[in-house]
Amino acid sequence: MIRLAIATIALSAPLVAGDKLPKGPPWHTEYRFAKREALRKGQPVFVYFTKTY
Amino acid sequence: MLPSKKLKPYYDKISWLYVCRLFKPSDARDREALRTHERFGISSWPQMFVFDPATGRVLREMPRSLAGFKAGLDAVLADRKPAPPEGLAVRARLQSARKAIKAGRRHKAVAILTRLAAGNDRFEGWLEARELLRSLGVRAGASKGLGDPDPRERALALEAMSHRPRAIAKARPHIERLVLDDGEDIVVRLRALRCIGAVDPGWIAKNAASMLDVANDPWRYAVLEFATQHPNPELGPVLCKLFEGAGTKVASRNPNVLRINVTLCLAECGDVASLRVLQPVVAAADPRNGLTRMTVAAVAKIATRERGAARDKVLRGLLEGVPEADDSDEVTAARRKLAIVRAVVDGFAEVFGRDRVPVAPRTWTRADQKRLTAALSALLRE
Repeated sequence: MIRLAIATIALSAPLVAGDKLPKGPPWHTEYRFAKREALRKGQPVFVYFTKTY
Repeated sequence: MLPSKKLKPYYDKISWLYVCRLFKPSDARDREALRTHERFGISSWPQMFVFDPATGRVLREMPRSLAGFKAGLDAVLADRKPAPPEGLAVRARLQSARKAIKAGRRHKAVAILTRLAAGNDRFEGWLEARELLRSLGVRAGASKGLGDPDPRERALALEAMSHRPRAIAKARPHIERLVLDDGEDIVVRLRALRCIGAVDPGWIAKNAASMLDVANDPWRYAVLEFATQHPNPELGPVLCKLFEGAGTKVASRNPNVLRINVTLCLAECGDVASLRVLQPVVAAADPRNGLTRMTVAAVAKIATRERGAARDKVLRGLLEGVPEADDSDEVTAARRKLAIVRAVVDGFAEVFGRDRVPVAPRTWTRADQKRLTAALSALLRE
């Protein structure tokens, strides 16, 4: 059950710990999650591409 | 700019996606970030834009100033329609399934998700339902590998077999179809291309001309890499078009890197006709342009393949690549010019033999330039 809960959270979580996300907006870190939210709400997606320097 | 509180009113009006490359192939997050980079053809940073989630079409490139950014968002949102009721319904059903999972009501969750997964709604509820079913160990959610309806699953299947030549050989006809299918997802196509490239790069070189029409930089870089390994002289005209049009007639987010990759390929596939596009860069002999030395080296390589008058024409072009010496040059400028000079000398040495060509000078004064140009011109007159 714990595994299921973790999997569920992982699939639905808008943010994944680890990356230094810019503060503020409710970031998604995976294309598919951002896309799905946008499709369902009828919104466009803003994307910010960066890399570790 | 992005953390500014002035952006708060937009938080719930658009979806926000942050994609960061870590360059750690062992990291699943980085592999996912790479897929998204390749989907949008990103090979330089940072980049920001707004896209349509249904088509992937870029709606607006976003500036880095707060005022410009807000104006860009306002413009994109100007004709925004209300949330589609069917989309909200899909969202609600997935929420119910999640609640059921959390409450330990597996049967209820599976029932909701199975119904959703059997459909093909345009809000990707069916894909998310399959993912949830998979996490629950339910067969209906299992991946069908290369034949899966979800492009991400097809991409994952290809990634899994990318280092297994036997698996690639077994699925070769299917993988070739994925590479050549214009309607296939670009992330899938690119992975299929790399699989074939791992076992038979010559096949890609043979089919490269039409593949280079695909408007995606990482895809083109990969095709060019394989075509460079297996030179196909018929590619010359296509490569010239790419070189000339990069960033204008040929859509590219990173025209300079595209030109670099094309130049490397022209070095192996080009001929005297390629001078039409390469020669202006060589003749400009701009030491600040990173492409100059590479282009000089490409022309030198072409010279080694040509014969007679064509070879002489290429060599005369190469000679124009000798940069203008300026005795007041700073150390860095002189060093950059010397690097180009060495590339020109190496080109002549490839054709005439090292013993007949003067050694590249260690300094670059007007006197050095005069001596070298005279010596190389004499070789051309012979």
